[in-house]
Amino acid sequence: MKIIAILIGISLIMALVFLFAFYQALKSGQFEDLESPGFRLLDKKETDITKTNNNAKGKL
Amino acid sequence: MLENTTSIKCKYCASECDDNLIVINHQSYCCYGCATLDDVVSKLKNQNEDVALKYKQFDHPDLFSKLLDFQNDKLYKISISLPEIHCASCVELLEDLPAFQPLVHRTAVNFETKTCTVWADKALPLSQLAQLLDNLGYPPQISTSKLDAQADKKRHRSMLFKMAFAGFCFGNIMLYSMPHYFGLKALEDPFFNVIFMGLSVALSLPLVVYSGREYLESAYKAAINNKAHIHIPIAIGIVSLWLWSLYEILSGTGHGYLDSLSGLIFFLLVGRWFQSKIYDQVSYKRDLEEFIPLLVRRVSNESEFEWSRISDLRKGDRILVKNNEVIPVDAVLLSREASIDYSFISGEQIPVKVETMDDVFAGGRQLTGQITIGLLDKPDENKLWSAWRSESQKSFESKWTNKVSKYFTWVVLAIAIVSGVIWAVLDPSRALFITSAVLIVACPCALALSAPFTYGNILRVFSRNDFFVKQAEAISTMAATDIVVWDKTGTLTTKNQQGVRYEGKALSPLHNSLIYSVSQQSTHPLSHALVQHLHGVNTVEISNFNEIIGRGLIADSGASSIKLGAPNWLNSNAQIQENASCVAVEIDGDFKGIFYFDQSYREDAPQVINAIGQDYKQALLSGDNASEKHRLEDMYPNWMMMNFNQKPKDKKAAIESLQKNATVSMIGDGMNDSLGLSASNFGIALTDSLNDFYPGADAVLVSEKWTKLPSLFKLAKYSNRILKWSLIFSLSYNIVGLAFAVTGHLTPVVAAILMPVSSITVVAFDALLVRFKAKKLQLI
Repeated sequence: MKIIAILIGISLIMALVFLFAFYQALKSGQFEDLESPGFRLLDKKETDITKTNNNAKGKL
Repeated sequence: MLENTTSIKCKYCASECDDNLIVINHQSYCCYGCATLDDVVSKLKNQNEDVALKYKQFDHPDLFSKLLDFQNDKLYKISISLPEIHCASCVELLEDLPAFQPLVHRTAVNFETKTCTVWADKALPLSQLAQLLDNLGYPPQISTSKLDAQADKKRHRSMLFKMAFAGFCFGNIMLYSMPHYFGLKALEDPFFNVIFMGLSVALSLPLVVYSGREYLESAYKAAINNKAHIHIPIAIGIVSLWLWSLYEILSGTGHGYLDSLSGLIFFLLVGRWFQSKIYDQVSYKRDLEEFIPLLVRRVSNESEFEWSRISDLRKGDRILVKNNEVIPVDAVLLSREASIDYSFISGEQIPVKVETMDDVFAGGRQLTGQITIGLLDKPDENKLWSAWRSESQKSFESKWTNKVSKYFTWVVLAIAIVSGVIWAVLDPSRALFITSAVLIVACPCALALSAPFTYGNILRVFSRNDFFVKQAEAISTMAATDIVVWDKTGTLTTKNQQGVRYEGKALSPLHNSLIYSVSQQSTHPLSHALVQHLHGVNTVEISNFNEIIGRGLIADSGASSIKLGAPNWLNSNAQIQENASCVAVEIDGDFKGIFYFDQSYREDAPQVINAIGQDYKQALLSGDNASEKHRLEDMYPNWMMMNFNQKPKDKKAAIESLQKNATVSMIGDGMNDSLGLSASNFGIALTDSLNDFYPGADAVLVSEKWTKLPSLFKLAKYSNRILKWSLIFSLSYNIVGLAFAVTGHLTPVVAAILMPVSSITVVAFDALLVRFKAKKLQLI
């Protein structure tokens, strides 16, 4: 049964990885606007899609 | 003009035009839709190179740098709030801005906050960008209060992460507690116990200190200020839960309640996140600063002027005000005469005539060409703006939960101490456990969640009906309303159409054409009304047009001459109805008759007033004269008060006198009634467009939806009942929990089940009741 200790460790690490991923996503502004990206998808212009990908990063 | 070729890209949408290439004016398009759109857009782009005054001020260097997010030598980045953003097409159009304004490098729309971030070349003045957006149908709201928005964003992020962290701790601690829930013997050996407990304790420390910090802090602040706050019992719960769990685990006497603790904090934070999400979407925040003309034209020498900020003006400065601009400061008129529309301030539609050295007041709109005004004093704090500024800040507190939590805290503390004392006598070893168990289980998280969730759900229903409340807590004030005060002009009556009635000698079609054509030349509101009334008749050529301010119009057409204006100006013996707005007509020296202008009430006005009258007392405050008194009494006979000729200050005073023993809600139109709206406990501004300005109002209702007002009030009132029911609901959970606690049966499993179940059921119960009631009132 001691193997469970290792499993617990792995699960904790995985959870921490997810928590960190969430933090990164939050920091990059992905949760600021949950609607417009969906609308952009409807916009067929390819140029715009690449453009808005840049925008999503929120950098200049 | 149709040609077929391959692999040419559409000028508008940039997709390949395979089969049906359309060439118009040497430009290729993939379909007629694109061609039309391109045509429309390019027209918009070229149209109106003039930049409105309100945008011009953005180019002032001081202001410009204040408004920006970022700038370097070449480009600047700015976030502009565009309240008109509505659907996917708006996003598409705005993100296509670089296509028709090459100086704009890139735009990104945030649909949820209705803002557009623009990266533009420095060669494009901000004023032109603003005008371009305006021409496209998105009048920009450029705010100087940038810092607030950034702080908001930061707070939003940290809140979300606190919640995520609490969820992370909750999941893991639950996992480590599983063996105890199910009594798995194999995992209960000391080795696992140390691992599980150690991890739980390690996670609980950042959980309480980081995620739960705000609850502890605000409870501490409230406690030292001796104020009741719902966070106090919650903080007591959190702290006792944590300390007791640490004690149990470290002393090896038990497994603690860390799972309940993490669940509790997680659910509280989820509730807060939900609340802020709804509030962000549906509440309406508008800054006063966006509406103040920030720059004025100061006359520097005889023929020139320079832009200057109001705060830089000095005594003796002369200011140029062009036609249709708002007078920025209190001053005296230096031009010969002027006609000023104070409807912004007083609600009176008919312009006031002023002569040289008469006072003119800030907020009036200037109607006659260009005037010069002079400052007698340095405008340190402008009267009008300062009145708006100081009173637009109203604070609403959720009195209900605070009141309940005050009693709650003392009762719980009393029960904890009494049961502790009793157990100290019965079994001293368990006294400490019982005391903390009582504190743990009594934590009113369900109670804390019920108010925000109820108000949040109501806000959502409200916003679906185009009713936007600035602060959720204001709903409790709306629910407590005793008296509803109405403004008449612009609220019960519509702003645009006036009923027009003619009395006198019959007018021939030629006469009508004459009146119509002459009225068209004037900007006077009554002339507008006449034009609307006579719309459709032929026009005739007018010569020698002359407008005598405060009197009327004189003009010739062919052989006939016409005079339109005040009856006593044309004919001193004219019989006119008392207190009515009217225009008399004289053609070729013959007095024909008088046009009377009745105000037309909004559709369904009697029904709305009577429906609200069933639940509330009503009063009427009007800036106009009493000519409509009888019609209003016909509509609704039980007015508790009807005051006419009310200046904004009178309205404010009237409301304050009503407030002595009642809660007053006022319904008015945004600009004119700002003083009254801010004086009332809950001010509702009726507006035709959300772009209008409504200082002092706590809520905004789009006027098309005004027939919903009675239902909106009913729903707000119903919130009280919902809160009472949730109180009973959550208290019954607490009583069950307390029964477990005082008898010493509060095991970790019981606590872990009871807490989330109570929170979730109370929240679901609130949401259901709001939905049910809103359906019944046909609001959703």
